[in-house]
Amino acid sequence: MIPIPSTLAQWSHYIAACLFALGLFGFLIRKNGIVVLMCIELMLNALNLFLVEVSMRSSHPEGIIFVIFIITVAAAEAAVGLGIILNLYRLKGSVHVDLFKSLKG
Amino acid sequence: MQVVLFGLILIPLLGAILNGLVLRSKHTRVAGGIATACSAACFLLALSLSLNYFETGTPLSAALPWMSAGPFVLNWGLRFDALTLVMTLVITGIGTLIHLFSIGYMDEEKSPYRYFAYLNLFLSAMLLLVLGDSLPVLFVGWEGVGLCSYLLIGYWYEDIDKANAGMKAFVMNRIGDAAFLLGVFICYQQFKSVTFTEMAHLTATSNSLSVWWLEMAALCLFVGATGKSAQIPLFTWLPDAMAGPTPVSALIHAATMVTAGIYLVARTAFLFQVSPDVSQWMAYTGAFTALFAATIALVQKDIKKILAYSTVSQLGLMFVALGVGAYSAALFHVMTHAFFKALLFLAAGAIIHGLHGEQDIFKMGGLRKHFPLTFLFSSIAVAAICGLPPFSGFFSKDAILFAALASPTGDVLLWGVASLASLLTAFYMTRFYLLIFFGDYRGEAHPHEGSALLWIPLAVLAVGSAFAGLVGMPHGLHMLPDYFGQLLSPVLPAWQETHAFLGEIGAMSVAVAVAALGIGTAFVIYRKGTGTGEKLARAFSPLYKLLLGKWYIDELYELTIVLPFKALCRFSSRIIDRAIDVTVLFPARLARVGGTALSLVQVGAVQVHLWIMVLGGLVLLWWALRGLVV
Amino acid sequence: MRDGLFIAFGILTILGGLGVVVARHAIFSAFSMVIAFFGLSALYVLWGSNFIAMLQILIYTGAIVVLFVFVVMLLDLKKESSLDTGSGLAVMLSGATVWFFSLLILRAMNRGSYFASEKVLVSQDMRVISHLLFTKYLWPFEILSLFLLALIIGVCVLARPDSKEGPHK
Repeated sequence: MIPIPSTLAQWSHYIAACLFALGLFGFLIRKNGIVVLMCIELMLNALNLFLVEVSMRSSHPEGIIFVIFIITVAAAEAAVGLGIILNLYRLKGSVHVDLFKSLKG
Repeated sequence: MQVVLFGLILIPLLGAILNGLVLRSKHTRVAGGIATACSAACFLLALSLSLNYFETGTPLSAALPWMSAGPFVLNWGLRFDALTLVMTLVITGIGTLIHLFSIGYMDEEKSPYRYFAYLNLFLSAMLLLVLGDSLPVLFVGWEGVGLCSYLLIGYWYEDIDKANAGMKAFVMNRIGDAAFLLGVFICYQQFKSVTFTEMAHLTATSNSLSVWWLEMAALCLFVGATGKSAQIPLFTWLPDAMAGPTPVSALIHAATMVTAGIYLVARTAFLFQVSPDVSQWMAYTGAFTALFAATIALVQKDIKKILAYSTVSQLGLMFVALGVGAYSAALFHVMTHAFFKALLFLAAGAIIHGLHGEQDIFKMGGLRKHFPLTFLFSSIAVAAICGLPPFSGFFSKDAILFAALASPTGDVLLWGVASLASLLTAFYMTRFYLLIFFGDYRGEAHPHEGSALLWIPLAVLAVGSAFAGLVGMPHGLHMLPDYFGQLLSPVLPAWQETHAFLGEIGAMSVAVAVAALGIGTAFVIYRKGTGTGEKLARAFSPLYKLLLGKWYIDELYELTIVLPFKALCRFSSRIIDRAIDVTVLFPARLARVGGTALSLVQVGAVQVHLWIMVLGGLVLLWWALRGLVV
Repeated sequence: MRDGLFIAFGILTILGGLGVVVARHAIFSAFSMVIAFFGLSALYVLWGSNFIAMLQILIYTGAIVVLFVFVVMLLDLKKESSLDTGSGLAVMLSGATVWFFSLLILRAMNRGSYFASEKVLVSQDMRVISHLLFTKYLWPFEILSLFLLALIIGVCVLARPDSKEGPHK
C-alpha cells in the first residue's frame, strides 16, 4: 500500500506526514485542552519540516521566512490558547473540553 | 442699479434670518422693530426704483445664473417693470404698515420672533414672485408665499383646529400648484423658453405654435391661480385661513398673497389673449365666485369670516376683469382692494384686540364710542368697499363692471352677476358696520382703544382707501387722466370698448344706485340692532341655514373627495401594504428559519467542530488533488 | 551516514509525537514534545538550515514548552486513570480519518515537480534571510510585530483574574 521511501526527501515527507497524523489524531481524540493545544503545535511543526525541506532543496529562502512567521504565530497561538484554557479552568475547575458548550447555537 | 433688485428680496430674507435664527428675541418690540425696519427699507428701495422707472420709463432687469441642462438655461432673473412696480409698492407699503400694526397686536406673544421671521420671509417670497422674470422663478416665490401662509395660519399650532386650517390651505394650494407646474411644462414645451418677455415675443411673432396647447397652458395657469386666489372650486381654504393672526389675514389673505393669482394671469396675459375660451371661463368663474362668496358673507357672524368671504368675492370680481381683457382694471382693483381690505382687517384686528379675542359681531355693537379712531377709519373702508364715490373702491369696481359690460368678450349676464355681487357686498358690509359700531353693546368684554401702534397704520391705510382711486379715473368723467392705465399700458394689453346698452356714465350711475340700494336695505334691517335680521332669518330658515352652512361646500368636498380618498388609503394600508409586507417579510422569515436550522450545527462542543473542520479539510484536499499524478 | 542519522532522528521525532498523544498526564505530553522538537531540530540541521534549528530549540523548546509546563503546573492537573479519549468508535473513526488525511498529504508532498526542481543543497545563512526579512517581507514583518503587541494586551486581559466577578467569589 505505501511505497518504501527511496530518497531522503521522501523519508522527510514520511516523517512530516506521520507527525501531522499524530497531531491530528491527538487533536481529535484527546479531551484535555492543554494536550489538544500541544497537538496543534505538532501539526504546525510537521508543516515546518516540509517547508524547510522544500526551501532548502530548491534554494528558495521564502520557505524559511514562512517558517519564521509560522513559529511566531504558533507562539502567539499557544499563549492565547493557554490564556483561554486558564480562564476556562477558573470557570469550571477543569480543562476537559467537553465541559465547554456555552457556544451552542 | 440692477443689483439693487436682489436687495429687495435679500433685505427681508436677512430680517427673517436675523429674527428667526440668530436673535430669537422674546420681546415683541425688538423682533418687530427689526422686521419693520427691514420692511421699511424694502419699501424705500421700491420707492426709489419706482421713481427711477418714472424718470427713465425703461424696465430694470438683473440675473444670476441658476442652472443649465443642455439647451435649457435658467437664471435667477428679476425684472422691474410697471406691473411689478405696482405690486412691489403695494406689497412693501402695506407690508410695512402691517408689520408696524403687528408690533402692537402681537404684544403678548411667547415667541414673537417666529411670527416676525415668517412675516419677513413672506415679504421676501412675495417680492420674488412679482420680480421673477420667468415662470420657474415666479414659482419659487409662489411656493414660498404658500409656505409662509401655511406657517402663519398655523402660527398658534397648539390649537389643533388652527394647525389643520394651515394644512388645509397648504393642500388646497397644492392642487392649484400641480396645475401651475403643468402649465410651466407646457409653456417650455411650446416656447422652449420660460421667461415672460421671450414667451410674449414668440406668441406675437411665431406662427409655429399650437393654439390648442397655448390654451391648455393658459387653462393650467388659471387653475393654479384659482388655488392661490381662492376661486371656485378651490376657495374653501381662505375662510379657514382666518385662524391665523389678524394682521396676517390682512397682509397675506387679503392684500397681497391671494392677489398672486391675479398677478400671474396679468403677467401671462399674452397667453390668455390667444385663449378666448379660457378667458371666458375665467370671467364666469370669477363672477359666480363673487356672487357665491357674497351670499355666504350675508349671514356670517364671525368678523373675520365676513371679511374673508368678502375677499373671495372681491377676488372674483378681479377675475371677471381679467376674463374680459381689462387687465389694468383688475390690477387697479388689486391695489384699491389692498388698501381698504387691509384697513378693514386691521380695524377688525384692533377691535378683536380691544375686546380680548371676541370675534362674534353679534356680541359687539355700539363700539363707535369705545373705538372712535377705528370707527372713523372703518367708515372710510366700508364706503370704499361698498363702492361709494369718490372712495377708491368706487373707481376700481366701476372699471371692472363697465369692462364686464362693454368689453368685446363681456356681456350683460357677467355684468348682471357682478353687479348683484356688488349689491350684496354693499349689504353685508353695511350690516357688518352697523352691527359693530351702532346700537347697544351686546358683549361682556371691556372694550378699549388700542395703542398708537395700532391706529397709525389704520390712518395711513384710510388715506389710501379714500384717495387711491383718484389715480385711475375713468375717461368718461373727464376730470383727471387715467394715470394707472397709462402706467401699465406698456405691460398689459388694453381692451376695446364696444357699444353696450349703457355708456360709461350710465354704468357708473347704476353701480352707485346698486350700492345705495344695498346700503339702504341693510340700514333698514339692522338700524335697530339684530331683531329684524333674526326675524328674517326665521322667515327664510332653509335659505338662512344653507348660507350659514356656507352652501355646505366643505361637507360636499368631504363627501366626494375626502371620504373616497380615505377609503383608498384604508384599502392601500390594509390590502396593498399587507401584500408588500408579506413579500418583503417572506425572505426575512426564510432567513430566520434557515438561521435557526443552521444554528443546530453549532453544538458548542469543541471537538465536534474540530471534526467538521477536519472533514471539510479532507474534502478540500481531496478535491485539490484530484487527477494529480504522484 | 547522513541518511542513517536522518532516519534515526526521524524515528525519535515520531516517538516524541506519539508520546504527546498517548501520555496520561499532561506533563508527560509536554516532555514528550521536547523530545519531538529536539528530533525536529536535528532534522533541520541535516537539511542545512541551522538557523531554523536554533529557533526551534530557543522558541519552541525554550519558550512554548516551558509555557505549557508552567500552565500544567499552575493548574495542578491530576493524572488520569485512563486515557481521556472518547468512545472506542470515535477513536477508530478518528484513526481512519487521520489515515486517509495523511495519505492525501503525503501524496501532495510527493508531487513529482518538487523532485524535478531539485538543486544542489545550499546552506541558507542568516544574511540572506535577514536581508529578505527587512526588504521584501518588511511589511509582513512589521505587521507581525503589531500583531504580537495586540497579543500581549489580549493575553493580559484574558489571564488577569477579574477581581469583581471572578468564578470563585
